[in-house]
Amino acid sequence: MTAEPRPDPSAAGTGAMPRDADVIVIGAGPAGMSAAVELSAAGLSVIVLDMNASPGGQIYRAVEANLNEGASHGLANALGAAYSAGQPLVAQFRVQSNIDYRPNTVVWELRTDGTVGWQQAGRGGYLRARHVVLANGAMERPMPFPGWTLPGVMTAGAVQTLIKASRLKPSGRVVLAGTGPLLFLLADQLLKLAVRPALIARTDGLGDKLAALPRLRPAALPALAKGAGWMANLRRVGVRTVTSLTHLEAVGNERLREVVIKAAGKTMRLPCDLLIVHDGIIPSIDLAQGAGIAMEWRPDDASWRPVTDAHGLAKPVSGPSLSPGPNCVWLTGDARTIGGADAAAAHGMHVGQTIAASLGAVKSRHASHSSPAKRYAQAMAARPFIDAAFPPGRWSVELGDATIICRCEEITAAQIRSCAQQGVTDMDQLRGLLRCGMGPCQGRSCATAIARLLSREFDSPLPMPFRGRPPVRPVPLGVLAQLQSLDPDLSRSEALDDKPDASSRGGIDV
Amino acid sequence: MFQPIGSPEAMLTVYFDNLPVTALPGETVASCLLRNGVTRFRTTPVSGAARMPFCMIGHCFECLVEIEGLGSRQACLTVVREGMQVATQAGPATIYRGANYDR
Amino acid sequence: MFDRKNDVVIIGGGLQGCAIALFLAKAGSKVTVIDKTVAGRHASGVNAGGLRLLLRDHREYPIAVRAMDIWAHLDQFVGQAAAEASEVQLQTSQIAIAMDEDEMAWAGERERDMKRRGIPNEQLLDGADIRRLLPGISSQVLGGLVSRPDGHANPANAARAFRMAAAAGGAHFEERCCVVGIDLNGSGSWRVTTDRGTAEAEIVVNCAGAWGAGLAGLVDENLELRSMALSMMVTARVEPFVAPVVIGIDRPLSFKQSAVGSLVIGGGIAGKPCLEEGTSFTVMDRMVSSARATVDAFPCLSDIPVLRTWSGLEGVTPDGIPYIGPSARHPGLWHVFGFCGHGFQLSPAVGETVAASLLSGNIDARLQPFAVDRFQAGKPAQRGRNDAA
Repeated sequence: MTAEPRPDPSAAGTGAMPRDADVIVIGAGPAGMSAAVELSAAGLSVIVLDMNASPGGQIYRAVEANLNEGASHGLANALGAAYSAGQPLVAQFRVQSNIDYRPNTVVWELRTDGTVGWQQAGRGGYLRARHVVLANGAMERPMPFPGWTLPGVMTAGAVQTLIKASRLKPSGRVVLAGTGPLLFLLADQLLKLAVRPALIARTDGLGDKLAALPRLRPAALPALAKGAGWMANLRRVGVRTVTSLTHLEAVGNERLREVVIKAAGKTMRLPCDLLIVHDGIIPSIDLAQGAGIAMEWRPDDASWRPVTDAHGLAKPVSGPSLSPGPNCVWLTGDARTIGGADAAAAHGMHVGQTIAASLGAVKSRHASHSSPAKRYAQAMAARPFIDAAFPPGRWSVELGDATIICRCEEITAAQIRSCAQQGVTDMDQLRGLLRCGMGPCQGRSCATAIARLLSREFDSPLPMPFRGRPPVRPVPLGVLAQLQSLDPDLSRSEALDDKPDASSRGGIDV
Repeated sequence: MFQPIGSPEAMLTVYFDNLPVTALPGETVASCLLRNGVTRFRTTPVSGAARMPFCMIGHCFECLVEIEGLGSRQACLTVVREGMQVATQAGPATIYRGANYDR
Repeated sequence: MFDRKNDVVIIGGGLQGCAIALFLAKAGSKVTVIDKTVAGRHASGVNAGGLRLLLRDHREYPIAVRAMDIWAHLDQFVGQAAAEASEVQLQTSQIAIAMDEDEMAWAGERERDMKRRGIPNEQLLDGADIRRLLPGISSQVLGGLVSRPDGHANPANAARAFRMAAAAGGAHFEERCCVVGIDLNGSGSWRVTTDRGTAEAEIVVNCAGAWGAGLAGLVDENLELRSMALSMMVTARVEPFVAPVVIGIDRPLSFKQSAVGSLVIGGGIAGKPCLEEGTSFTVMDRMVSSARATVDAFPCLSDIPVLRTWSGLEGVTPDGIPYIGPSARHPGLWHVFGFCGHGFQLSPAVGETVAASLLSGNIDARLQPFAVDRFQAGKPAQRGRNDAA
């Protein structure tokens, strides 16, 4: 029924190296899975690379395991219908016969010519394709506050991951703090798991909701109703909620003991075992940045977004590039712009169709009843309202001097401010001076916070992310030493040979 | 900090700092340690402060531990295996001096 | 727009330019240093930081030996705090390891050659010596050469140290300032025109690094230079592992453990240089040989993760030693560039000898091998492995 995968007959393109597939998809979340299914249904060969052990990305993490065996755990019920709704897509992804799906695979380099550096189980190398679909999703917006590095402070996404993949739920005194739909979804899920937060401390307030009303669209009403339902439930059960949070502090020695909160002018201290924080999600830009794709800083969102056309084709930065020639990297899903699972699935399908059409491939089965473009527009309709109703990044306004900004290297806001006051407002220069962004996470947890601090408090131009060079994720020396599928042209050992001749030819005396 | 959802199933045994702990088959080392009440996965090489996972999805690199003698492994991206040896990472990564010491 | 009259204008605020500026300023010269970005931005801040006599071209030895003295007393030149920040380690050794018989034979020859020249610090090591000095090294390593006075420092901090000290000594800096022209004015002194102003001086020193040949071209002087992007890898922090710097002989290996504990691994691996745009790219494909050399020498490092790479632009001459000396075509113009990836250690002494030569009007004898016209017809230059032809 499905067409045979068509290997690329031409050797042209990425040097003279043969291609391993028509398309490589990075990320097996809703966007990546949708793109892969669409591409392979059109008869193209697809390799899907993903960091986790099973498909689903973050939102549908472990959906197969939980829906198959999970009935007795009540997990499906607690996690909600939107979670279970992911199962058909995962099932479709699994049965699609010509998808070469490689889990537990970490991508550490991406080039605009379709070259992808990968590693898995102690081996690594390069793969090449005519197109790459980057669907590596989103991350939590970093939200520094005093004490946020203490054991016992975790993100909402972390807790959801534990629920889904490990069937663990919080115990003890739990406080939720921040804003964003995910925070309230989690609160609802916790209640269904018989976990009752001691407090929900929100940075957003009623004023944001009212200000957001003009952006409300009819298509957004279901999402709005869902959110209203969560809030009503929390109120009904009597979970204490405060709004207009202006100060948050985690206190403890080796681990979290209590939180200090100031909301609507009132200060309170609560004993706390687990502080769950969330300030919305932002595109994960590490691979795109490393590939030289242009980035747009969005001050209201306190984040960068990769620049693409409407279809998702990425736009490289102008100027020199490691790999000259046309760009063949596409972005989709939350990696491109935050939209949630339905938007991701729709856009992923659209990118798959667009690439297939550009390669002259035709889908051998019936087209779906509504075009993905329309579904995408519908799914995105709620975004303007949501973004305005839950504005991010309030914290940086109250960023105290002693707050650690770079978690890995333990660099404080005071140190960054001091450098900026001396005129250093370039992110890379700051990194060179202070080491912020040089640790294992390579700036994932600090870059947006630093950029926001610089652009708000100092007269600095639009901030750019740290210059990203490969490897974008750590690669062991032994794996690097044995990289497979090197391009012989590129890897021809070009080294500086400055070993002098051993024997003298009557030279100069000391 | 965390408790299981539902009744326990057939569990694996993993070793943390040489002490046996239970693990759910298919879970990551990070969730296994959290399941067993571990709040200090490592101490930082900069100040010696205690750290525990923050994001659980491979972005924050707080969950670095020593796994089978190999340092700076992300616990949240490593699936448990029966008998796995995990240890606190105190400061910088140690250098493996096990069987493959001199290939 | 500025308009400065000086004794000396230095083009290029890297280590060489800042070191020369420091010594000139200390002697009372009025100096302006011009840099197109910020001081120390390129090769100066982006090298392995080796303080190395080991395997140095013998022609560089006199300058290198004097430089070691300065590094050893850096606080006297840049102040206590800056010297500490430079993380200078000396007497910790640099060791060149021989992985096969050819390299071992070469090492033996080298030791003999240096002894003939009266240079005693490079000593041959056998396998037992190597294993004692470098625990964890592979049993395949046959021996090598050690230079015990050697060590390493933090290049970016050292570049900053010299920059600060030069400014504190009275040198004036114009950064983010591009030179667009160099001309002789009517009275025989130089006028350097930039996009932000003009600087005049009797003497101009071209310390423009990878851009040095381009600058020489502005005054119709043709100096052969190849630009390269030299790359390094940096690993996660590891437990204290190695004090000496380890370098390869024929293999692309160079590694040290930095002050924060990460391993900085180089070996002269080339990235992709983009000279005009002032940027460069790491080519991971080429890092493979350097990683392989590292784990062949130290198998126990196989699982240590590389966190990041960097690369910076450097200039390479045909014979592997820099240009340091007066222009062959114009009086009052000196060229000090093309350090082929190993100028870091030399820089304090380059600064001192060039400054002294400029002030006295006599070229220091130790600078003779670096004459800029040494490749011209009739000159018995030793063209080496980096012969661009």
